[in-house]
Amino acid sequence: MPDYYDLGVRFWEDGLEKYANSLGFKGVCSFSKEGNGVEIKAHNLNDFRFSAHGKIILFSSENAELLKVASKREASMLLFERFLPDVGLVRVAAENKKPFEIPVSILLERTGANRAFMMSKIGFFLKICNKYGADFILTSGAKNKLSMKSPAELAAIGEALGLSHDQAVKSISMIPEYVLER
Amino acid sequence: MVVPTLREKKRYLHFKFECPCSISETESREELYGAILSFLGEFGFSRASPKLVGFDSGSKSGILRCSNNEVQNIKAALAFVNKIKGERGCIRVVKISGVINKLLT
Repeated sequence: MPDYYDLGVRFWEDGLEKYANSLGFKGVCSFSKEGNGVEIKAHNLNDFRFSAHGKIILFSSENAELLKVASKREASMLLFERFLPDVGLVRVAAENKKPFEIPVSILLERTGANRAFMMSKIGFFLKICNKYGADFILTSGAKNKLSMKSPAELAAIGEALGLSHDQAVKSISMIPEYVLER
Repeated sequence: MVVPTLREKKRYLHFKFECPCSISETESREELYGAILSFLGEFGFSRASPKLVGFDSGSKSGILRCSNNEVQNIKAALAFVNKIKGERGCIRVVKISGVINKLLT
């Protein structure tokens, strides 16, 4: 059985790792002040001036060109908030072996048709990623304990987004492990 | 009587509500069916054929039966629940089995 990781928690509180372990995760990455990750929301090239030694760097932007630059630098993960099927960006990310983060919370926050549209967008984005060999990581993106998902739930959501079972499991086990080791 | 080869295979899901509020069996049925219906739609619901087998309001846990082929979709549908009776909460799938006795032990 593989080890599972949730590399996209957006909060920190005492006992978080213990709670994650009870859900079935071996490790978590929290993008908060106390956590082991740093999220950089980029709007222009000046946002590339940062130092985050020993931490996992998530680079999020709505601008595909900025993410292309980030994938050539020291970003550990990329988050393209619009999930547009930008082939150029996906190719660059695949060449530099930078995985995209797919936070499930984006879907949880929406309801009805908005959720369906976003599922369709993310599903097509994942299809493009598979075609060009770019990696992706399914994360909970949780802002509190109740929005955290177990590995089985994340895999089930991945399958609902059009992934095969193996791809869904890989995106919460092997690829996050690779990011943590790097 | 249906011959065994034609019988649809079932899966039993042991689930648990994680929410601050108390919840009765009727309310839990409404929450579960509502979540599945909103995620899968009427056609998907009919294919999954979910049925609440039992619910314990003390431990807020119960057993849901569904079609074997649609179990992953049911899991995804339950994972998308983030509000229970208007309050923040979620439904966790604890265990899945093809035999109900295994969930009860």
